[in-house]
Amino acid sequence: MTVVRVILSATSFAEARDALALATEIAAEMNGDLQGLLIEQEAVVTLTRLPAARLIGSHGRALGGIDPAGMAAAFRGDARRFEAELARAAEAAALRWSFRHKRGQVGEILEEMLQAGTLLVACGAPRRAPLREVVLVLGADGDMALARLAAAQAARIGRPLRLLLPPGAEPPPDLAPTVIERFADEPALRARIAALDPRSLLFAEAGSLAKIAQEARCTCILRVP
Amino acid sequence: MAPEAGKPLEASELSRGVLDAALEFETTGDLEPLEDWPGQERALDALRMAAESRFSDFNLFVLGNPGTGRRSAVRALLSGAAESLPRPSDWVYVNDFDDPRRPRAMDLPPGRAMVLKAAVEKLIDDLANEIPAVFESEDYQARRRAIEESYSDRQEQAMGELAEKARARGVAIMRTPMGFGVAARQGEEILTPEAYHDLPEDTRERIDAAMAEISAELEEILGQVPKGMKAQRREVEALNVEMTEHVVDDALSEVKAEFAGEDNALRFLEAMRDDIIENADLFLIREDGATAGAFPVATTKHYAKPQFRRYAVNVMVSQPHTNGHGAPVVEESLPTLANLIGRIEYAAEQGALVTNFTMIRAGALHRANGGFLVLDARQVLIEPFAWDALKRALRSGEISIFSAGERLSLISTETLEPDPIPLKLRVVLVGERMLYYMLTAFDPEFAELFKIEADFDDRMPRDVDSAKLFARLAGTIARREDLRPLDAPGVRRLLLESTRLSDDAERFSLNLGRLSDILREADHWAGGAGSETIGAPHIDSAIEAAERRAGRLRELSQEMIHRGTLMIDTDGAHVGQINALSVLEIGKSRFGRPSRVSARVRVGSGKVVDIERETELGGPLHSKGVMILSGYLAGQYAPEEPMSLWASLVFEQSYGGIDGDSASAAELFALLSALSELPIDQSFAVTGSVNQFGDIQAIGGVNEKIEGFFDVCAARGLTGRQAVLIPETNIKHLVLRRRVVEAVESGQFRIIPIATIDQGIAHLTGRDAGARGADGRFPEGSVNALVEARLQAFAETRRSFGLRNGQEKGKP
Repeated sequence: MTVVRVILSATSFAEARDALALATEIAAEMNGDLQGLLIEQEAVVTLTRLPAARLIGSHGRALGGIDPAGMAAAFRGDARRFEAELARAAEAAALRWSFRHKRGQVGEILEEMLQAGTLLVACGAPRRAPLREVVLVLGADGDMALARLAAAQAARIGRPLRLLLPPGAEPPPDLAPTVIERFADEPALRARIAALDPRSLLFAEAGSLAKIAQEARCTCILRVP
Repeated sequence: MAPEAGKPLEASELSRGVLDAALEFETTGDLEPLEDWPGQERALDALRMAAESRFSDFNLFVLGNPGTGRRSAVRALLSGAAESLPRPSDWVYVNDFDDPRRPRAMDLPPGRAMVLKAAVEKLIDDLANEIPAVFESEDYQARRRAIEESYSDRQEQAMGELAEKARARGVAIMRTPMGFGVAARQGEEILTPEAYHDLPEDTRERIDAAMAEISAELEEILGQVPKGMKAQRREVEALNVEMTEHVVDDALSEVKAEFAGEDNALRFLEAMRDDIIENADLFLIREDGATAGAFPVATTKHYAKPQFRRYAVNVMVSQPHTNGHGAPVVEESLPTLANLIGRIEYAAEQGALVTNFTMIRAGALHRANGGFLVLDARQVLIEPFAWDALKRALRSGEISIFSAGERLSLISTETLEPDPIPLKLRVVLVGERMLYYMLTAFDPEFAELFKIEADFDDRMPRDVDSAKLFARLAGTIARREDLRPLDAPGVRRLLLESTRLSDDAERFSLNLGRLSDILREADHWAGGAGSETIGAPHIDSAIEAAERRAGRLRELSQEMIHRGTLMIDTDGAHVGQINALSVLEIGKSRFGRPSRVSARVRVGSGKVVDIERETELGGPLHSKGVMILSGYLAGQYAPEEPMSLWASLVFEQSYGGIDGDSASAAELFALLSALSELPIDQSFAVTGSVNQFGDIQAIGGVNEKIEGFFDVCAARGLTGRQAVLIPETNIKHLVLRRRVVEAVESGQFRIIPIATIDQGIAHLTGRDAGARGADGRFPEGSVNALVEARLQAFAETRRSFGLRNGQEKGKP
């Protein structure tokens, strides 16, 4: 598996902070560049203009008086902190690094970023507990390099490896997942992925599943072959 | 035959009996060593009393001159007494885990402090390995994960259900940099404001209601997060305690068993257990890697790490580990405040002074607790705050540590207030008599705290029994100092020197230091002569060498007289001029020398002018002597007449201070010569004081004074006429150097004891003093008759002068 760059994408600094160590570790292992990407979602900015929309702080208190400018400033602040932490981690691991702050739709931006040789680490919701499992989605012509990466990660953190098989796929003989789940159709698989909680770490090939990453609450590692 | 006053002494009268009965041995090596100190029974009894008394205020002051064996006696007696006393407790300071500023003092059975210290260090080492191992174990990790997951499961489940519900109700929940956003959705996109406004009102109301409901639930879920986190932390803490308790109790059980029945140790171990469990995270600090040091982690001294200092056992006093018994005898030669009561040390950390209970250091009082503490009184008194601290400790019965800086409020840094340690010991101060008397006079607490005095005598009476003891003492000193033994003549010579040191032919000196010095030097001379024993010649050599070393000033004084710079006549006769004798003591040098005293008289109103006093060179005792001789003159010669004399007395060529009354007889003789106009034979020198009745009284330094005049005469040539008049009562003090005795023996020099002024003036003038006859008159031509006649003449002159003066005044 040739990985030229590892992109850590997040929609806030809180997400990025949780996944930064993982992304750095993978980049160092793959000898790829580390890129940070903060996506300033259009929808979030729009949210502040909606009369009935609500903003609720992380401790459960409703926040009032937030306008688009305030939200944009919050994104800029997150971008600064994200970049600083990324630089510190990359330099500590002797990696080349870069950082981008983009505004737009998450799906579109990710589609744009997914080029050959890219491993995308798309952050899920911030975690309050250690990872519980590693989940691997492996198609019929499965990417065995990605499968080995997932297995290695599961072994490293000492957690189970759950293998999700789309219709027609079979588990490879040299992989020993803890749990195997088979899905009769694509929507069921997508629903299962969407239901994964933030303490899961999802490995999947990019492509049609890329959009799912937007909805998954866990961190997704998507590889573009 | 006893010596007769007024008659020259025979050579045989200058030497006491040699006490041969006491010296019937070959060498002192044949004699039994002395276990005790001869002549010090009174002091030794006091020492034994202080050593054996159980009363806390029976502390002891050992007084006496240096060299009298005070310290060796104290050391030996106290060591003996200490052996029969029980071994005192060990004392340690440990942390007060509730209040680290007040370290706890703890006593342990003798010899157990170091055992506890080692046991605690091993315990900490074990726990430093075992506690991290427990927290890294799969068992612990699984249980902890289970706790954490139970809480995160609940939250994630609630969030998952809410997300599903929101999706079903057409509401989107989005993460933003500020938290969560809740908005209506249109398909996969967020409903724009414009699209929202285009919706029918009932649809908007439905959307608003859905968003309100989802928002409320989201608020509720998020609001539970901190509470859940707190509950989770508590569960994890409880788990940590449970795991730590298990390890700590397991490790402690062995230590507790070792200290079964030792309540203090067990209490401390229990407090330490609770603190370790409460602060188990201290054992998880890993500032050094597993391979950081030269030794593997398992053998590293973990107890020495800063985070474990709180569990240290600071041993203040530890009795020897052996099963021996006995209380300590501690001598503190430098009794500073800190050396006495202990101190709290400080270390500089980032510019601030910091301390902790492991930096408390023991003092002599701690080490001597339960036994004896021997101190030099002068040293204690000159060390700032030391005397005060010692008294405070004895008064309060406990040792409280404080520093001079604290006392003077010079230290503003945080410090400790260690528990005072109960004190029960006997303090023995060794000092000079003057210190004892001054403390008694000026320090009211002294007599309360030091109730016993052990007064070491300087001398002991000279008899056969004491001479035997002296011989054994000399042998004991020789044996102790690894010297050759003394033969009998050597002891005899040392004995003679000892009487000389005591300034009394009937007393031996007990200055063991000085005797030891002589013996060591004599041993050197004996060695040089190839002798197996120390004999009289070697003692002589030692004494002469010591005198020669200290003799520069004496020789200088003799030289000045010999060259005529200091005018001293040793022949011829002069009116109103006499040789008085004085002793100079400078450093180790002590010698006598003659001084010329002269007197002039004329008519006056009864005043004898002491020129020394007028010029403030004379001390009070000298002035007293001059006043006494005025009394003698008045009573002896002019009982019925007004004293019409003006006389002046002076020590010629004296440029320093003069004190003492030993020249008062000489001054009176000079005055009588001046009054009688009879010349005094300058072959004589005189020493002695006089009372108002003309009796000659004893003085000090008689040997040195005689030798001083003898040496002047010898340098000029002995004539056989030269003599020294001494008080008859000083005969017993005569221990003269051999050169003087030999001169007397050969008739070249004389020593004449006198009991009265009349005896003395007769020798000096060669004329009878004369006693009043039945007619109340002195015999014509006698000294006293001439003196009285002169005084009456002065009175007549004065009377006629007064009459003439009165007539002058009465003229109209």
